[in-house]
Amino acid sequence: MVREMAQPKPDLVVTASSIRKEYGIDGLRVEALGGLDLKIREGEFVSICGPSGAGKTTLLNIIGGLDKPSDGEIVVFRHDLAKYDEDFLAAFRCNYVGYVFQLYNLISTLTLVENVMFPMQVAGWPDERIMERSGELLELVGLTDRSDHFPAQLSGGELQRTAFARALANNPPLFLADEPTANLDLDTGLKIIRILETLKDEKTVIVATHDGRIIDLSDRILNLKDGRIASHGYE
Amino acid sequence: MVMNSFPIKDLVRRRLQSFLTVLNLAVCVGMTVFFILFGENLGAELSYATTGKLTVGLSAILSKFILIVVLLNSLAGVLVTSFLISIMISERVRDIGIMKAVGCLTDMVFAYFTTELSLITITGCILGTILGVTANSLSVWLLSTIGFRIQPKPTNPWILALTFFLFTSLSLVLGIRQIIKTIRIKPVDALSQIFTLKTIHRSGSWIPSKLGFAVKIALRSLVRRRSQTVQVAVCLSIILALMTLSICGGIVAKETNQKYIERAIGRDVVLIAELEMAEQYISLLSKFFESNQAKKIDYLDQKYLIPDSLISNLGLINGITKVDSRLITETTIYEYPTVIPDPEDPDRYITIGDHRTCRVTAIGVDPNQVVNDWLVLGEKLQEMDSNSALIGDSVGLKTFDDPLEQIFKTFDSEFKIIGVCIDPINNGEVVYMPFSTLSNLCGEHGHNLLLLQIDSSIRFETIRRIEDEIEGTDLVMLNLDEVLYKHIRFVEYTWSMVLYLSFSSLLNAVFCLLGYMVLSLMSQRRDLGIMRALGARPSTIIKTVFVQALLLVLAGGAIGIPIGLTVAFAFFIPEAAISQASVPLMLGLILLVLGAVSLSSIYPAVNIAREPVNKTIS
Repeated sequence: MVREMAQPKPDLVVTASSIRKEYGIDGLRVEALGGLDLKIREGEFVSICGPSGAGKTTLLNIIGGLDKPSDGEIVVFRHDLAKYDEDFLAAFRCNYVGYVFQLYNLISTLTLVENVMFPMQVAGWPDERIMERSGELLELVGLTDRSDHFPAQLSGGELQRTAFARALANNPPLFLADEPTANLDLDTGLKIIRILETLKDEKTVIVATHDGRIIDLSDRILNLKDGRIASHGYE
Repeated sequence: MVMNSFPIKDLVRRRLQSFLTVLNLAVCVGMTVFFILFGENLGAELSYATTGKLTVGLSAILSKFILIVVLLNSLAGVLVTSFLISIMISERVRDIGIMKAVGCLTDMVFAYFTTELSLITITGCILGTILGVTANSLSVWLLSTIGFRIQPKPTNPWILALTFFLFTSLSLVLGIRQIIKTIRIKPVDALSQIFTLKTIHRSGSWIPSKLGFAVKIALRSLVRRRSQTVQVAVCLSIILALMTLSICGGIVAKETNQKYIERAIGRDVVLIAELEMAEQYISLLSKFFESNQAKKIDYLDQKYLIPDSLISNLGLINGITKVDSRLITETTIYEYPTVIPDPEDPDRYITIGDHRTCRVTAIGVDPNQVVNDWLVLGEKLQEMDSNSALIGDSVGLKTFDDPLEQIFKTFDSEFKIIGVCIDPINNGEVVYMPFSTLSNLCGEHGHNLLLLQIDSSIRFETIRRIEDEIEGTDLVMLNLDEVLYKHIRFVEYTWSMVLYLSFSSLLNAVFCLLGYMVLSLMSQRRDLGIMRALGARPSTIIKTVFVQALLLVLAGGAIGIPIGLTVAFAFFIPEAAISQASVPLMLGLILLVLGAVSLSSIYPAVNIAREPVNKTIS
């Protein structure tokens, strides 16, 4: 059964109000985000920049429904994510968000094509449609010939491209990517950037990055420092 | 100095894995210590409780069973320990690869992981020994509370030391072997998941999609993690086979023992004899379950004889299916040494036996009319076997080396032993021979005891007619079913104590497998976290893990349980008998274990499902 969620078309996709995130590590409180306010509109391409430990990944995780803020309000597609239970958040991630993790996070026991098929299977798509769509996506990222390989048999660039294909599987309206070119060589990075370019007009894209080529694609740049927005910039 | 503390820090940081490994090891060692201590306690208690009671053959079955259960469960403990150590080290292959890849010398890697292994092993074994002693004390207390007369025995420190040493050294040897094997792997291989999981390069399209999402993912995970799947399935098969053997073997042995007694006494049997003779016969029968000394009587006294006319009249009563008229007396048998061909070298001859003697009850019967259907090792008695005898198991085991090859002498005549039977009369110290033979030897041609088997459908009518027939004589009628019931209760009581040990093996299997499954499933934590990040609901994760565990348990059960059942029924005990009521009990217990082990897998899945997603995949 296909898991249906309302697909509203709000102008504002992400609204974060005074969100704070604290982690407790060995009894020590570490503040990853400290009272951050943010609004992202539909179709925007936003780059989040900042030094390591600035809170980029934490912010992406909160927007993507993987984590909840310790304080404050995070509304994505009109859903106040902090208020929902894990079942709702799972459905939210499945239908609204495509996430490319910094360390790819492919499932080790599934082949490349199975990894791409996974979100569609979770969403309950029919088998024929899953096969067709996964084929299209692998073609898009140029990995058709590696579809039966396991993640451990692929290079970093191939893993990253698979992660992109998987993130696009359910055609989510919000696309998040965490340092998508950080571990890649120039050529592979370029391939990733080309994929991002194709998304620019179709989806709301939020990318945590240091890569100038991605920043050049952005409509807006957020500079994070110590868990707070240090500056906004517009291209 | 700093380097030395690394293994401890590492274990502390991998808190959950370390805790689970130590706990599992402690459970395995603990259950083995418990089985040895409690088995010894029970063995001593049973030998005290059955001194002068039970037949030697049945006592031997009891002791053999206790020994087998203790051995099987100790073996299960050793096996699970070896699998645990293997899984623990295989979890670290990647870390070993990383250490080697950054330039650590092989010696240093070896020392690092050996220190970790030693810490886990010694802690687990110490905790396990404490757990075993506690479980033994609790069991003794529990059995005493529910009415068994069981005395706590002081714990033998040597047993504890030996078990501790055995498990510690076994774990260390197995672990070090695995470490040596692993550190020989090239760093590039150790870092590859393909190598560690032994993943097969195969498309997943063969899995029918109609099975559902959870089943598909579970099947793929099992097939792709070939190395771990095979290991878990083998471990489950062996443990389930041992557990089935312990439990079903116990139930079968108990019921078969009861059946032996029922067959030896006979059902729906009444005894007709002169009052003193009847009491003497009951007293001889009761020696099986209570220590008593039969009175000294002159069995061949004329006052005990039953008139032949009365026997004939009784035989005519409708509803009497068998008339088993007997001549019962007492005699001493003398063992004769015998020369037989050497079983190892047929060209040579050897002498077996000695000149032992035994005071026995001698019973002359008409072999075609006996109400007994003894379990016989050898042949049954026939009318024409004039110089042959069937002996009780206690005489057979106490007085002869190889009874079926030997002869004995009594009443100045030699007898060939054609069979050994389980019979509770005089606690198995009994000799059966054809009535005509005993009658000729004693010079007494009448019967002094009569057993009548009654058709149970017209029981009351038949008994009333027997009472009418013997009215006015010195004879009395006693219902042997009451005596049989006491025998069966005694066998049940004795076996209940032993079955406690069997049922403990059920717990042993559940605990060992539970820990093992939890540990093996924990290694999939990250993959399950990624699935959640991609939108799989917590319930889907739990379902997937449950299906995976269920498939593993079913695979293990499909191999292990039939093996256990086959051994329990075919080889464990001769002419095994089982009541209809026990079949569902055995099935229920086996299903309980399978269910408990499968359900236990939900624990790590729930843990993973509850954890914040970003923490699981970080």
